[in-house]
Amino acid sequence: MTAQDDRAGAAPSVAGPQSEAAVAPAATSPMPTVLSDEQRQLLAAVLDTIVPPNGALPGAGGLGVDASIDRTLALTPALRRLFLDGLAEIEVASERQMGQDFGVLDAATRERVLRAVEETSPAFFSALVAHAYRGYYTLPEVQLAVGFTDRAPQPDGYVLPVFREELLKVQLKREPFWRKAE
Amino acid sequence: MQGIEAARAATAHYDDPDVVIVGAGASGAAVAWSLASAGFKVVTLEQGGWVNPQTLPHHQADWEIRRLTDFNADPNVRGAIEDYPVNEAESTFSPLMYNAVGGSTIHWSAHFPRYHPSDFRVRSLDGDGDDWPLTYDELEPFYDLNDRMIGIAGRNGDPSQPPRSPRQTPPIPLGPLGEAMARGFDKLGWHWWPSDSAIVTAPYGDRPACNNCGPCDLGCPTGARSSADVTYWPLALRLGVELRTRCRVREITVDADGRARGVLYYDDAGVLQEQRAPLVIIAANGVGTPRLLLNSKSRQFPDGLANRAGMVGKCLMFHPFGTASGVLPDSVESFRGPIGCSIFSHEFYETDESRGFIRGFMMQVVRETGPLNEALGGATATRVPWGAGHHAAFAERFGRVINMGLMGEDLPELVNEVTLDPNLTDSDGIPAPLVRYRLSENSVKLMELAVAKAREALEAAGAIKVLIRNPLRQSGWHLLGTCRMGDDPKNSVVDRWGRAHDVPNLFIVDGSLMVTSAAVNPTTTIQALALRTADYVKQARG
Repeated sequence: MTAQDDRAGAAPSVAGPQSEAAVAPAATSPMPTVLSDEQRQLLAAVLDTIVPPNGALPGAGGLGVDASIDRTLALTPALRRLFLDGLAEIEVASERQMGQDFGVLDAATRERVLRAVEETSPAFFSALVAHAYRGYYTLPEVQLAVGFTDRAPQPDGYVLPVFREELLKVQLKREPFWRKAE
Repeated sequence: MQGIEAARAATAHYDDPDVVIVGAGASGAAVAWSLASAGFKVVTLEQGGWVNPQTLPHHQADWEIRRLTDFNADPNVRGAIEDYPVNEAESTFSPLMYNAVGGSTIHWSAHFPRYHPSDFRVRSLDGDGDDWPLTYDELEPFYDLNDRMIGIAGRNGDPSQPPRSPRQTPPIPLGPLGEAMARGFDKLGWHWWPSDSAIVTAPYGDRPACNNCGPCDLGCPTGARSSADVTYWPLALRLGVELRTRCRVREITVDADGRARGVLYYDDAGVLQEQRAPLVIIAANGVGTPRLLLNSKSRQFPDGLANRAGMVGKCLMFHPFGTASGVLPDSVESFRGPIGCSIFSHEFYETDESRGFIRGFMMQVVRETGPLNEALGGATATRVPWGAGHHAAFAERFGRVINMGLMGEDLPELVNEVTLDPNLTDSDGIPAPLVRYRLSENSVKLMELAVAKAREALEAAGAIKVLIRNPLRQSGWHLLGTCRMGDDPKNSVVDRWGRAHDVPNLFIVDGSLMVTSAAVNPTTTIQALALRTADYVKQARG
């Protein structure tokens, strides 16, 4: 059983055609991009608000998750409009509420602006957070920092411990209790 | 893997097979093996291809992303060429399945419990649902045979169920999360037992022991998990079964006498072919099988094949399903170990009428997987909040949760059904299924108690907080009941052997023939029933 991303919530399903790594194994692959430099900068600032720096570790924007989202948009046309419109909504909301560009706001104000956009554009925002987490939590440095491991599950796996029979001490005393049926 | 590669290359070819089987998943594989071992010339048609263990997500840094994209359990999310879309707008649960050699045992957590004896006698014991036209005792030898064929990890002696044959390999270790939960159950005096798992923890045949990598739901690169592609298929192919992959069956054809003549299918080049055979067996799951029958209209069967009683597609059962996650104050390395296999409790499995509903539920301890899955919501689909509080909220959960799957018994109801969508089709233009399903009043009450008992158990295990998701939409793994078995042709589709009442040379062996759902994962029982049907077919030929 796994949480299937945002399907329990309001957002549409956002599967790409393939995972990023399956399609483009190297981060440096020459791949078409969707976002302009300005949009990339805005997205990076937004990502740093969604997943802020953690101790010595930069936030999602500082770690380059904006680049992986840009690649996803290049591979998943169905998401492009949602993200392009959503980024525009963030700029508009920032201007309207604060009279300033999002990029110059302090962290707490940025979060306030984004909470408002989450209210008005829930589908976009849910997809944005999902893709922020996708990019962030698949980075090796993040996986190590949270106490996980930075290697793929295979080929090495992990040592399979031995089953501890003594754990059954209490249960082994119980009489059979299944219901008889002819 | 060399054995499988060799067996694949050796696939036979028959123009005039004795039997054509539709579907190469859990039950189709078992039947193909059994019939071929008695000398039948078998052709199996499978709409998917082989899954290459080397290209499974487990080898890649972004393995967790593939769970959300091309390896998602939901065919509507994957949208692969071999998948068909499912209209699920009117269903509480999303039907989940995989189309490949091995079928849905590819993306399978491999929890492998049996039905209880009482599950075959629901009407007699509890006055609702139905009795099966067979008993646990009749099925037991086939459960045992199936366990030996595929290899199980477990321990016999469970007081909640009849004694069973020795398990092939020792149980999957509980891990710190399972042990914490076991202490919680013991404290309350409730039952728990190590899960029977379709995974081998010691070498079995030519397959290695599990190396504890974790995400069984994304496939098994080592072959330690007992999915149909690494158990029955290599043996079946060596016995001469012809397996045609990427062949999608559109309909079953009938002759002038109303017997099945064969199947019409689109081959791997997209060309329409007819494969005739004196015997047709369908193993296409509880959504795919009624879809195929309803799409097989003819002069003799204007409402779909084997559907004279109007029962094809009726009585769909998924299992009402919810989840609870207990958050502990310290790490229990929840992310380590096979995702679906640790321990389970059948304390509340059997009927107790004082509870205000009939039948019961299973509590199954489920592990966490990677950090991305937890951030996106974990077992309860409860996303970790973004913003300034994100890291503290994530750290509170990651590695510290005990997840519990709560699976209730679903009772057969005519209103829950699979029909054909009037507009939606697959890539070959075949009508897609439309699924209607809603929880019954009995199921709602049952799940309310399941949630309350899960909370109590998790708190006894030390949880300081409990997250709940009930129902969990993405939990339609079990596709059951849509071509039900019965002695009376008026309210069932197949007889006690899986033979269609209306079509004497047509058999069904997948989850659609299940009369009632029990409150356990169904693959064990589906495969045992398939082996039993295969024995009947062999004996009938003499």
